[in-house]
Amino acid sequence: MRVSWAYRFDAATAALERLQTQLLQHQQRLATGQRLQQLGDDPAALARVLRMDELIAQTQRQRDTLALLQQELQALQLHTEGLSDALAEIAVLLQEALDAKNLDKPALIAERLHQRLEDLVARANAEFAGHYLFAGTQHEAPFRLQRTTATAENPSGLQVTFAGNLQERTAQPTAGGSEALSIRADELFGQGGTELFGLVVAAYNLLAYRADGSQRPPEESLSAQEREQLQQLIPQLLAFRQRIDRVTARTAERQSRWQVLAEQLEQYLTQLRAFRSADADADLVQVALELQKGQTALQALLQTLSRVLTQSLFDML
Amino acid sequence: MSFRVLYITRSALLAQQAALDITSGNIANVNTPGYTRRRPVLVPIVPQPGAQGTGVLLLRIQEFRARYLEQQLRNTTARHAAAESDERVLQRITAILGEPATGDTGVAALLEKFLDALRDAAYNPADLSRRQLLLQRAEAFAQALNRIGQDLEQLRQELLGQAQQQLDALNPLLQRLAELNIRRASSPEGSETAIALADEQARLLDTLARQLPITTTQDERGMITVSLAGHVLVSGGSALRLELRQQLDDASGERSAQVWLIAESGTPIASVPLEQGELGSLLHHYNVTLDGQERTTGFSLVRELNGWVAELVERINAVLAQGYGLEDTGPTPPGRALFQGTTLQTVRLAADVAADARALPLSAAPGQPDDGTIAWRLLDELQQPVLSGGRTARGAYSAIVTQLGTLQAQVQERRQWLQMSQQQLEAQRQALEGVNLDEEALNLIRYQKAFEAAARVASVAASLLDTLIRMGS
Repeated sequence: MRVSWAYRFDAATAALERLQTQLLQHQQRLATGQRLQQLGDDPAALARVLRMDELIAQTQRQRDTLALLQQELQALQLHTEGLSDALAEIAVLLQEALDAKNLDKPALIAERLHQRLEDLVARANAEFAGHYLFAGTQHEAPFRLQRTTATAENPSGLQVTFAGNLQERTAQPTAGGSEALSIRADELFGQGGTELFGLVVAAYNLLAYRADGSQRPPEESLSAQEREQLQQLIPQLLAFRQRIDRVTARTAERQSRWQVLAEQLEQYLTQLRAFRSADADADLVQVALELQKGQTALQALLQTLSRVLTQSLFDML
Repeated sequence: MSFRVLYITRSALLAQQAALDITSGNIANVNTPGYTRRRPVLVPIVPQPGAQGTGVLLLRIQEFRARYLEQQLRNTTARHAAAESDERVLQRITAILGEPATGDTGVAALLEKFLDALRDAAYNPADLSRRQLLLQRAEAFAQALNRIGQDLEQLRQELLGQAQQQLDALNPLLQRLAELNIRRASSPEGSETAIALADEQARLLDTLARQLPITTTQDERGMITVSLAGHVLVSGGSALRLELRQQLDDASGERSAQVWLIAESGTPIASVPLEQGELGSLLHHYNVTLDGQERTTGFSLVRELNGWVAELVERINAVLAQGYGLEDTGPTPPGRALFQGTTLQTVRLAADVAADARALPLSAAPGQPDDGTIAWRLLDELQQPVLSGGRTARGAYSAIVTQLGTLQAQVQERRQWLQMSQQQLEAQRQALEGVNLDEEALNLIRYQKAFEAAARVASVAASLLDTLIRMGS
């Protein structure tokens, strides 16, 4: 084939352009570690990478949500255990009031019981990350211990009111799956969320007040009837403790279930990242070899061009 | 003794000198685009009856023109130029979209950040700071879409401007082709002028072929007829004018641009559909790829993105319309939306929600500030394949990006293939038409030696004449 002077240079320019473009691509891949530098590099791989990105983001969000909820469950478990302990202490206190050694100390025990009641209310107002754990979907301290007008049934006038609601606060740790996150107050504390507190107030009234509603003087013993009434309150309180313990156990079971789920999600994430990496990340060894090959080819081309392009018959004339 | 030797020598000196001129012309134009090599055609002068010996005559200059390749090359050029332009435009588009995105950049990443903030607000809907963060993320997402919409529209207008500039440059070129036709017809065939004019014609046609998918025919006088999509652009000494006109469809609001053929009288003749050439590519991207109102089945990125935005906004707002804000107490939901506007350029935060984060309707019931049911529902919905085509919110965007990637890959592949094809055709053309310096060096020696020999003959003839004169005296 006849080769014109201009075409020798055009062909050399085209070959140089091609090689330099390839070299630039290899350099970019090495510098960024990304195989896909442009959308058009490999559309099939791009589609897979974009899908993997979406799944990774979703799974990470699920994992993070689960971690957040698990922390709340841990706090919930801690606080229900605390409630259970508080109830146990109250039951022990009432048992002490019935003990023969303490017949003359009901007023003193009543005072300690009052402190326990305050502690119980404080525990029932437990919060975590801005939520009151037993307030339902309300956003204020749900339990308040207040003193109302004294009556024959409630000579102390002590009353615990519930300002929360009995709605379940839900969350969706996994796609499409709604889970109740909060514990309803009536599950823990009985009807209206205050039944348990009513029992403690009743015990307090028995210890601190006489049957006629007057305040019990220090060192005055309980009557046989009052002792009988107090005796009946203890199993009721312990029944509440059992109820709280059941909630604690259920919470622990959920925590364990979510822990398994979290581990599965972490494993899934690792797999997704591996799938993504296969398409999106540059094989650095291969790219380095390609770069070396390209550099060698470029060097050879430049040497060839420097020899061939400078030769002409005119040089011999 | 005859004096014919002097006439013969004279013709030889003139012919070899002309051949040397032609060779030096070839060498001088070795790098001139569109120049085709020439060769002197030398013929013996037919002698008078009874005469001995004959002189030489430069009959004509031979041009080397690969006419059979030129149309094929111009077709390939038009397609290659279109592919090159497509590639450039698609690279600009992907740069605007910021794809393939890495790290926290890009629309998809901003959508994910919005979903993360939605999760945080769902978990603690009474927390004002989380609501505020959700609004900020939503606004950042909307602003990214606005920026993309504006940049794509700016690119669209830029393409129209480029098309206009290129068209402006083509009209004088068409006029020049018509003028060349007249001059070519009056130039003697085989003359240097005729060949130089043919070179210029070819060069102008090559330039024209980059912009428009033209076809050409040539008559026996060398006049070129240029046609475009079945319409004659240049014929003889007259040329039509090209004009870029925009058309607005009142029903759809679609604004498209077409190239119109305009007669010398100024009367519009017809609009021509351009599928190849750089101009065809620019108008295609203006009329289809970047046209949000495009109604054909061609891939319109802006229409696809607008459709995605509209569907996404509708879904988000439909879920939030069932929710209550922190201060809402009425029995029915206030029906608030998060976004207003349904296109890339117009989507933004709804004014009432933007003004007060407490108004964000995240709860399923009034007066339950810690209820994030609606927020959870929205988060779930945006991660489920609920959009058209069974896609998730992000999946639908990814599908558009993938479609763009596929288009870019096709264009790259087509451009590379056409570039190779064009190079091969150009090599064939150059093989015939191009100047080879070594060849010209040989010719230079050939004609130089012939010239020197003729001069030597003249010297011998002069010596002979001298002898004759001395004999006579």
